[in-house]
Amino acid sequence: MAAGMLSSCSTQYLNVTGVAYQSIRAKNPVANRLDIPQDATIIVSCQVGANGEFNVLVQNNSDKIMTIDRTKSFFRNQSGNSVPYYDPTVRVQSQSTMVGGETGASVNLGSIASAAGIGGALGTALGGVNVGGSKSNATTNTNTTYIVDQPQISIAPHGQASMGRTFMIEGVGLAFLSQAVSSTPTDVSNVFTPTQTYAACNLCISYSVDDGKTFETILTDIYANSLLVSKVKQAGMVNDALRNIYLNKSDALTESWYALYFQSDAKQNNNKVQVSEILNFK
Amino acid sequence: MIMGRIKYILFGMVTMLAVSFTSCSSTQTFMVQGVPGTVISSPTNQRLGVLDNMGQAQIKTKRKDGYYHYLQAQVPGSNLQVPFALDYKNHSRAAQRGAFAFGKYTLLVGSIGCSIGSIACLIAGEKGPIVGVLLGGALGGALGGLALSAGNPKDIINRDYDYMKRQTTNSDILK
Repeated sequence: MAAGMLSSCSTQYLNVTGVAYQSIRAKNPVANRLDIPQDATIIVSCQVGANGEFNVLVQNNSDKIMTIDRTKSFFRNQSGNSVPYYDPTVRVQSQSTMVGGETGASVNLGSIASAAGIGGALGTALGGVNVGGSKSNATTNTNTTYIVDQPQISIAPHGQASMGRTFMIEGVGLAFLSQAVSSTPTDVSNVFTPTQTYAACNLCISYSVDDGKTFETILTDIYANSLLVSKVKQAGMVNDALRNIYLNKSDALTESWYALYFQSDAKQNNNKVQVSEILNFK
Repeated sequence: MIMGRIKYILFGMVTMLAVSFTSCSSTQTFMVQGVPGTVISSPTNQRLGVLDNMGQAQIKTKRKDGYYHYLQAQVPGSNLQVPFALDYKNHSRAAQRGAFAFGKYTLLVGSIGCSIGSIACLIAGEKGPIVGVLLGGALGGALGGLALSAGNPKDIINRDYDYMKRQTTNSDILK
């Protein structure tokens, strides 16, 4: 009893060590859809998730059918690796189901005796006797689905479509911020340019509005334009660290995409990710 | 002799009651200060309160929700929700855990003893002592239950902090 009481008396203090912030934006930012001219042909909307997941939605702003050539549309990461949206890999999914059952299944002799009009003691005795011997006639149905990527996507006039693949932007997201707070002994307050940044990606989409006769490209450059880390100097005074970030980046909360991360041993309610679409048009 | 024992039992109950009431509230309350009319919301955009004409509001959070690293403040006329971090102070809740453990083991040992005693009395066919054993068991159960009401230790693990009584929005920096 005493041991149980002592073991349950250990103290677990809360420890918030720092706050980290990062924001990303397009090289040629478009504040919102109202800034896009009416006569734009194509609108590209990039969405970045909390862990750097990168998804693209393409909107056909023209009155013609738009064809996206996914074999000539690419995502390029900071490391320089360029990956086309079209994935020629054929994936196979199989699912087998067993149909049918058994024939010549067990027969209860009691029912035969009853049908034959055998009553009395013999009939009662036969009632408890089963004759086995069954044969399976089950068949297996296998459904095989071949998943083949589409090299082209057609978008109806004023319609929209997803590019269909999710890429990851290296150096963007909550895991990166957690690592940034852990590995940084002092405060960091860095603002970056498109050419001097720690995280960037480029998107190239090839599209046609003349039934595939000619293709044009639209390029979108996205980069991390800030990284701030503010350590908690006095135990428990977390807001001072947060205010330090606001003081060093007054437009922190008006960026299209930003993530605010609190490094702590309490894992819930410790981040805020503001996600707005990053737009481009042509 | 019996009166003396009752005195100790009563003392124990009052102490346990005091510990329970002072340390096991399921909510935390603190004051947020800022611009009058500012709406305070949780990270999941749940509205927690509005700052009054004096620019302050009492905000209540549930302990079971865990530590809120930040809340959000939206100044009247603005669409921007400005996060502000919640300052805290650590302090030990070992006494509460101890009370819980005491109650848990008292209940356990008391119940087992009561059961064994009752069975023994029933086998022996005695009626007098069984009344005493049952009363003792009931008292042990009540004490244990009182301590158990202090909360589950798994819940209490994240309770070694308290929010500072006064918190400030950051609306003065970001408007």
